[in-house]
Amino acid sequence: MSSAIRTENLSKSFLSVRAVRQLNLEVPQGGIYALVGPNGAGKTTAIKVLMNILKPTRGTAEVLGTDSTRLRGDWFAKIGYVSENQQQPEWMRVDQFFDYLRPFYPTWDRQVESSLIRQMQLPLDRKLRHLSRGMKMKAALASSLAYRPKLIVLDEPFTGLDPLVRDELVESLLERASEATILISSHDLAEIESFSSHVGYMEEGRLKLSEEMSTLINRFRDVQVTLNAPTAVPAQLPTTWLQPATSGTTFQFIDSQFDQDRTRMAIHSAFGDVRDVTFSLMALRAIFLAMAKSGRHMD
Amino acid sequence: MSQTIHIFKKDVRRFSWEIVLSLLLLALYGWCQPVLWRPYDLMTLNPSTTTMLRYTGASSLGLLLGLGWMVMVVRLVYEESLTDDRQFWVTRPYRWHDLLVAKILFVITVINLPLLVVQLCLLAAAGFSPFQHFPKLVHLHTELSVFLLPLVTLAVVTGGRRQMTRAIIVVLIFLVAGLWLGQGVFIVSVSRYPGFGRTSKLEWLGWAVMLGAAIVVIVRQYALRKTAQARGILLGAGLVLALLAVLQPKQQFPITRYPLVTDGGEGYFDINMPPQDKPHAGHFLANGGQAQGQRVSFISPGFMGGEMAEGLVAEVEEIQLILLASDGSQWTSGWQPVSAVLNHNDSGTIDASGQQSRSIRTFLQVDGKFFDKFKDVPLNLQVVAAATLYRDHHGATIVPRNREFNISGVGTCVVSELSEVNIVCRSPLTRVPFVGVSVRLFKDCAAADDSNAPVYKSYAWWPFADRWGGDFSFSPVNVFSLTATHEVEGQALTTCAASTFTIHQPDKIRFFRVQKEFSGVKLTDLVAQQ
Repeated sequence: MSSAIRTENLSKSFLSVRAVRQLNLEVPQGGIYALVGPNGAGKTTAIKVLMNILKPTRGTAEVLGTDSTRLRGDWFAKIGYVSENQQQPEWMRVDQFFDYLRPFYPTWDRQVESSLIRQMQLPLDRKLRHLSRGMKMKAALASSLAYRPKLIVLDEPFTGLDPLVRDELVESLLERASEATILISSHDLAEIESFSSHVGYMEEGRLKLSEEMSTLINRFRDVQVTLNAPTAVPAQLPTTWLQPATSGTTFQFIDSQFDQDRTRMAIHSAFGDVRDVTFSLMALRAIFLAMAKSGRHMD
Repeated sequence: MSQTIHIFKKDVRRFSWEIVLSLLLLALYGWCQPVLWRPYDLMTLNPSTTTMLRYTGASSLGLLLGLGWMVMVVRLVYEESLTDDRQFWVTRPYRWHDLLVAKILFVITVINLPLLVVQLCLLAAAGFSPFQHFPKLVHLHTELSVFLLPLVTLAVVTGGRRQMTRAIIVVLIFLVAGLWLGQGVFIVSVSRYPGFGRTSKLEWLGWAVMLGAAIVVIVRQYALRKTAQARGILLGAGLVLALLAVLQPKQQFPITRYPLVTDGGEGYFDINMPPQDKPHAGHFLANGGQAQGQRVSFISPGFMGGEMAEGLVAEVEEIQLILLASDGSQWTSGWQPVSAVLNHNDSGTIDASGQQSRSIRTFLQVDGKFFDKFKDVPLNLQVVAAATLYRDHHGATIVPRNREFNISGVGTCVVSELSEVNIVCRSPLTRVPFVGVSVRLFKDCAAADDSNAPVYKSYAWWPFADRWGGDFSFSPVNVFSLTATHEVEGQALTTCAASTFTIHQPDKIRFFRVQKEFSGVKLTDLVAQQ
């Protein structure tokens, strides 16, 4: 088994609304897979289908080698799931919450629990309902990491959190990343860019892109060409050049299949001799923005 | 099992305040109940605040407890909601059967067991052997579970107060529609005629569909959480019930089982219009005698039964009035339930309302159009009374000790200290059979020792034999009253030290009916005096 999660043509509809359309997703074991996309893209629905909270309309999903529709009971002793809008037993104190969950998990590690509580500075004597949003998320995450799950699924865990809390959560998560596969969804690309090993981009229920983060970053470049004289943009440009624009003697585009030599040759074919060419690394946010604006598949 | 106990403990902690409140109310309920076992006048003779509070508590705490338990059970289910996909527990290693068993364990521990303890204490306090009636208590608790089942079913397919309210409204509309169509037989489980005391096959089927659907939906929801399917099953069950209700024969009184007895036949009693000089004897008026919408309400005349032969008792169950006009127009009351017992009574006692002991009264509503058209026209009136004939069987004459006496196989009775013959009886979890008490009464206790003093015999019957077990409540002690006639020639009669009581436990002989026709009856006369 090389994939912790694998879906095949997975679809989920709510009456006439098709929330997830033929999703083919593969999350490699041990990876940190960031599922990104705008709000309403279908990320949460897809994750709920994976967690057997919702039943798929069509297609199949395998989670840790088992059909997702069979996930229940003891299977969840291996999976940690945290969602931004999950309803916790708010009447419990934090310590009661941990006391309650502990016996459900044969692999619950009291040391990990103590370490997480200390690290996240969780107030054990406070009721969950009296915790801030960030603290609630910390409590939920700590309660999902203390039993060393093989798969950690986080649905928009950082939404609405201040950067400090977010960094603390990420730190806690990464400390356990070596033991588990992590699937994390977010609509904010900046917050997952730094630690994800893989990224998938969803839009309108479809997975538009799924790739290793390093490959993706490496194949996108912001290219700036300084021409000898103002020149009209040629009618035929490579399809991998996104958002071409000219301003005076400057021609700018985003190369979605960057290879230094090949790109230089393509520029030379289009413009002949040029005065200067610069290649800039792009942030994930800028890459997806370019993709969204160009409306093309970039794989 | 350990997960079951673990979830159960969590629920106990979650509802700890509610549990404490429930136990307090239950203890209070148990403390209040015994006041109902004594005639009300015994309390009014000594109306301490505590007694009055106990009386109020005894009559209201049952309802409060029932409602409280219903709310608690719904909240218990919602604690791990089965419809909400944002619940934390659905992605935790809950085993569905452990969760379900934990909920059942909670209901048994928090509701059934404390109630059972209180019920055993009440039985003991009422003078009955608690453990002798244990199987019946278990049966009572099963009925309580069945009572809670529809609510639990709604709770597992709804996700909160708003959805639950909507679901209850849908169920109520279904029930009201069923009743409106006159086919609410097994839907509301009010059955007067089908099966005539026995549950008909269709009713059994209706119950099986209802309970089966409820159990399937509950178990499926805990196992699979497929709410849409569960709601579909409930909808399907509702449609099947509606279909069965349509197939159920229209409720008809099985009059063919009541052969006609004519004058001279065993059990025959005459039916007469009440005497005109005693207006209260019959011509009662309700709603001012005016047409109220499409109907005119009145209480039918106190049709008096003739003298029953000695040794015979008739329990009149249903009565039907048919008004026939000369032009062929007809109005029938349909069969109306009555509660009247006719017995041999030669002492002429009457009760406070002026009704003779051999009287039959019932509430009727005449069609407004018929009334307007024929109110001043002489009509033919046919009265048919369906009854059960009993052979009187009485025990030895007894003198109650401390105003209490036992009726074998029924329970214990307490006699009022007032002049009114008011006997309150209690029985342990049994349907009260046809039973009565005759009492020797005197006009004046001072003359009671005089052997020549006139003695009057008055009867008090429980006229709902096998039909009504007394007050419904969580109490295992049924309470029922025996009312007696206690007046003669306008003078109140009373029990004295010399008064003796005789317990009557008649043996059933057969069903029968008598009928009588009157001509020249005017409706205005029937609804005359205000």
